[in-house]
Amino acid sequence: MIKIIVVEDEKDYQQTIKEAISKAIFKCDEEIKVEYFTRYNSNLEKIITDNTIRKIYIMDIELDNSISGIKIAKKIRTNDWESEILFITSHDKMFETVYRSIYEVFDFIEKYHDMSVRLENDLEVILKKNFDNKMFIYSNRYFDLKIYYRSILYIYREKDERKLVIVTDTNKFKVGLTIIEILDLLDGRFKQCHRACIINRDRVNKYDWNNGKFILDTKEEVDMLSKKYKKEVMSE
Amino acid sequence: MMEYLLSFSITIEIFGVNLLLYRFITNEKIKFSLKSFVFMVLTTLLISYLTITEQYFLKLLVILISTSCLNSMLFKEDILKTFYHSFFIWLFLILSDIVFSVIILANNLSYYDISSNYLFRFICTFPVSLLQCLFLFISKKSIIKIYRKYFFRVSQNATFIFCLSFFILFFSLLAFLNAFSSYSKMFSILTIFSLLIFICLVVYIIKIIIKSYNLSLLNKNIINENKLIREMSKNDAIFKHNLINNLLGIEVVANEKAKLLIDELIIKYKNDYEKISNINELPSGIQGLIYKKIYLKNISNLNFRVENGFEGDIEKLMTSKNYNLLSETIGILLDNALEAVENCPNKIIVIDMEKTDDNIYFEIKNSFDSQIDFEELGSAKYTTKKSGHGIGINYLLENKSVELKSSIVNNLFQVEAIIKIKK
Repeated sequence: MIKIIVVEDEKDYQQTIKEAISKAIFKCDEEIKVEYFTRYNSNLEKIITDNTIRKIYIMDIELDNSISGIKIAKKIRTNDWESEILFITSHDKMFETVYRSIYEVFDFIEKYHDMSVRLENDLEVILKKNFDNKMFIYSNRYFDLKIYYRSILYIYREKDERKLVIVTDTNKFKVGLTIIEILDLLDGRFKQCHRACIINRDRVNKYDWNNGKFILDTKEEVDMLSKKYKKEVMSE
Repeated sequence: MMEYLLSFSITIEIFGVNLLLYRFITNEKIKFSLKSFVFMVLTTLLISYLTITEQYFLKLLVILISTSCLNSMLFKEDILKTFYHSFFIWLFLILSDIVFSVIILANNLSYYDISSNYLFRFICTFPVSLLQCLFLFISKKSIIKIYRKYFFRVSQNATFIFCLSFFILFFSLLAFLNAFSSYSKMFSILTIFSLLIFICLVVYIIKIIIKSYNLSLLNKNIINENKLIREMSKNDAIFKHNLINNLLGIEVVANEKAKLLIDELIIKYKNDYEKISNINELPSGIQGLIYKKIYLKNISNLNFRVENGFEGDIEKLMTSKNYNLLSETIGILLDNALEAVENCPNKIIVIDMEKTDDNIYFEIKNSFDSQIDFEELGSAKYTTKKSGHGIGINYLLENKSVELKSSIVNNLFQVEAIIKIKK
């Protein structure tokens, strides 16, 4: 089941959102429940803390008699990085740039410019991509590390320090785990392709088994591909 | 020989209970080494010897020193820090030993007196240790809660002097009991150690007074600097606001090339103006500090935003010590954030402040673009800075007066500092 939570204090916009949701979920096979709120309250708090259901939040940023949509997003992201968040806004681009990164917001939809069309399109995309927001979670004494599985390109073992390096779209993280230990923390899309390398199959465009390298969707070529692991990599 | 074995086993049990309690209190892992094993064996032999020769007072002193050294070796911690915790463990062991011995020996039989049967005496040592362990397991959460609430967060210097004074009191009391037979001997020992305690306490009080005075001076300087920089930032904002308006006016009569240049300038000054407006949303006691850091670093295209949950003068809500601590914390965290975003394609810093009845929450989130050794992150020697300094975040993480919650979520570095409000 998927829950769509709408937080909007203006009745007109609530109606527009309702219509856009009806059109978007029409094509979806899964059971979808929609709830409407005009402000942050205890019922909304209960929904936010419930991690058993997949959720899509559609929120106005400016809310009367309530904490703002941004504050609600902060509460959501305290423990939940899987739900999708859409904002209805009239703020500037800098605002959008900042909070898109901070709270992993799927989209900022302008109130006065094709709101219903854009909302409908975004909902269709979200429902099609099936909530790929699972995270790799690891902690040291002082810090927690959380990375979306979909952001991880590949993981390899460094020769010098014998630590694993997790390569993502933007950064690299060295962790003190073995290949077997990290495979236990990942899902089925990650397969060992070399004695010292694990790939995210969803991010690989091409396997060059003869030359021992794989090419990622970022165009990066990595020469850590072994025929010994071909069966495992190509399995379903 | 049997006597030696008996004392040896009792001492090993004492060390065992000590390690268990130290592990409970500090939650640190034990790291065994050959050096620590050899040290343990040698000190056990020494303590056994002191037991047999009935030098009980010296034995207690050696147990305290040896458990401190052993804990320092096994838990890889600073000797002063381990002495502090070991001192309270030592007191607990003595007191619990007396209490449980009395409970077991309700019929007034002392197992120390049953000297004929070594096996019976050996067996009798276990109940006390077992009762100590049982007591620890049952009341583990309460002990940890009470210890951490009242003892853990107190300044190391002050508590070390406190421990030393208490130890001297204990030492003098035992010396007094030992020398009870001779009044003049007893009186002179008591006088010497009372003087020592008095000197320690006076030193401690003078230290506190000097520290408070220095803190209040430091805070006065911080507050004055904040006021000055706040005035500067307001003037800067007014200047840039007027400048943008003037440039818009000039743009109307400018040619195409000039218009492009003017547009670039307007974007730049608008960005700066928004940064200052955002900083002005923060509580007055820290505006100046943050403005100064951002102004000096002067990073172009920095997306800086503030979410502030309260208004008012922050310095009035906190003690001098905590206000100084907050300024220090903000300084370190903001320095780290500015350094991290400098080479980032997407330069983002967001500051979030909240207040509850008990605490102030200061959170900073920033983007970063570098390789991180996650296992070393937070340790004293590790840094991603070009300058090579990495002490800042480690200093805060080790500082028990400020609680830090830190995480990396995708490509965002997040640190939340929680500092107490004065009641």
